[in-house]
Amino acid sequence: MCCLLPWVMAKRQGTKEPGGEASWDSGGKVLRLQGPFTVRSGADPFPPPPGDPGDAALRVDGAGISQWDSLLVERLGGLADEAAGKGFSLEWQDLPAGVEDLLEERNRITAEARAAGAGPETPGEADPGAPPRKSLLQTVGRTTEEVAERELSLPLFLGQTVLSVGRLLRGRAVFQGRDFLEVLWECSGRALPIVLLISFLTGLIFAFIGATQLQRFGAEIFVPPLVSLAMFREMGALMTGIILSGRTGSAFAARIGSMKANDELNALQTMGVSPFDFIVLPRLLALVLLMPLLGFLASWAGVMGGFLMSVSFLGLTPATYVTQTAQSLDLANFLIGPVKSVVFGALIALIGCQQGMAAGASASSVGRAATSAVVQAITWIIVADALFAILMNLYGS
Amino acid sequence: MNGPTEQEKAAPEETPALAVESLTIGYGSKAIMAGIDFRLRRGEIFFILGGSGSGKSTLLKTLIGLIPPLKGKVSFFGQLFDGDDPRGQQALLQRTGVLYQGGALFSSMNLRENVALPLRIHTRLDEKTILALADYKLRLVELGMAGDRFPSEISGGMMKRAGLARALALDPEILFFDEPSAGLDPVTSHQLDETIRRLNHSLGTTVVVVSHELASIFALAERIVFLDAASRQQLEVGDPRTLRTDSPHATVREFLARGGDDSAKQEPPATPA
Repeated sequence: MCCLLPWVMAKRQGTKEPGGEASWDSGGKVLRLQGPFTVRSGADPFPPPPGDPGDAALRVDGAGISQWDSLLVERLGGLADEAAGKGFSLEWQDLPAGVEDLLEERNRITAEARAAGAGPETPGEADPGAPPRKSLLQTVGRTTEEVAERELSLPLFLGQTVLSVGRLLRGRAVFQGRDFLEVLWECSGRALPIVLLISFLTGLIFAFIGATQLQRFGAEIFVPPLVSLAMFREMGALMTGIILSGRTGSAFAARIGSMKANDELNALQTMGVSPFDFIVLPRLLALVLLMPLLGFLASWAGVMGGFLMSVSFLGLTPATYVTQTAQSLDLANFLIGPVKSVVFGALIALIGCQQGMAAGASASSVGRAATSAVVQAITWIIVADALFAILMNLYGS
Repeated sequence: MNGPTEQEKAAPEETPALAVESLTIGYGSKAIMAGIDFRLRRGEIFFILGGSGSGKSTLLKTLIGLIPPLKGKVSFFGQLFDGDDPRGQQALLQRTGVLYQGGALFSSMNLRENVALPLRIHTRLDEKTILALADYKLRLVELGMAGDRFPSEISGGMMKRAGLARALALDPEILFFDEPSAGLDPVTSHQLDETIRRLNHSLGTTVVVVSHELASIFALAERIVFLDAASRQQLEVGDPRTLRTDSPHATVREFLARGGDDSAKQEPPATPA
């Protein structure tokens, strides 16, 4: 589809004037070209010589050509190729000046390309730019190999990060305070409004969903615990994690990817600085510190959302809402959110940095790294959340 | 392959600044180039030449320890440069400086902080001295006024010069340049060449340049190594001015002669009389 689109657009924009026409004269010996033969005007393909020309000598009469460009050269060249294949000969007559030179040039480069393609391969001269076409089986195998390689680099990355954290604890890491502060600000001041808004609305939505069901039993009084438990145990951390994956994880990947493209990572290495100390560590620490805080505030915003809905639509008094909420939240429920947030924060930072470091050195691969950082971070956050749910179910808290 | 006489000429009694012995380079199991072998005497300006895809950049990366050699040895100042001994490798790296293609400045720091970073990491100097040294290095590359600027605020040529100032931070004995003229206009490129020559002259720094800019080669290079993509071997080590006419390899002669006239215009002494 995507390859058709430009063609469709070109068709629409194309000029209305008709392209040139080619027709064989009555004897079938002379091909008369009439009108413009340009890429813009377009022209129908030359009709094949009528009947079997055998080894006859055919003529192309170009006296009527009004305009021409590479389209004409390509068409004539194609005809010449056909002539060579079928054994008839061609001669040009009244072609515009320059066309014959271009035709010769075309034949030469075509022959060269053919010779290079079919020539015997000497070892050491194989062109790495032109890999042989792969079968489906090969493609599947290679892709599996590549994916395995990519995923296996993650444990290596984790190991390096652990070493780096160890160096930090011993005070030996070259740590960049400025990056740390920048990330702190980026994930706190700047991320807070959107995190609060989304969480507020999430709380509101939960209250609505809960209310429609609970009202049937006259149990609206359970809306506040429903909202507060959902926000503190699940949604606060989850929503914050998803938002930060989108705005921070991808930013990490893009930033580090472009640093890699600019040789900055190599420069660090030759300077004797571990890129993990210098780049991963500040980001990891900033997110691990900030995520619980953001998640906690997000949970409160959600409770506010539930409060607004319950008080204005369900007729609960503010006092009831507050006492109900307070009763439902014990210490365990307060702690679960921040613990999850720490894990989510670490996941976002590690995946963002890993994707950035694994990015290739081109602009498009930086974009891909950012995208896959978001997708992977969100996936892993949800997987981790599911694991938390199972664990907490097992231990009954 | 180069004859032993060439090497003896290049390496008199002193230990070579950089010795490369039958080196095979490449990634993983894929060798790109084999049998690389040359020695640099101290204070020499040496160019690594070759067509696209001949492994110039890979050789440079191998020389500065970013990728391990597949076979063979690299040693600096007579000491083996070995990835199995990270501490020793790092100690040798501190005696080298690298100017990467785009300058590789850290975008979150201004130029002064960029230049100060190696000093902060590897020295115990006090803050004031570090900043004074950083400013001094910036003045060396004529960026004395730009210390407070950030990499995003300066031109490509300035980035390279700032990268050079950072490479000079620890007063390296060997400087590596990765395509210094890439992306620069001829005048800026020529100025950078002059800076390289000046540093080599005044500080006695050994200089290794990866480049295919013929003007720079004839202006600066005392000797070159030519890497050939087709045979995956080094074809020549020697003086580019003699190689241009006397090399037995047509590839080398062609490569060097292509821009001979231009370089002759720019650098009259470079043309063989």
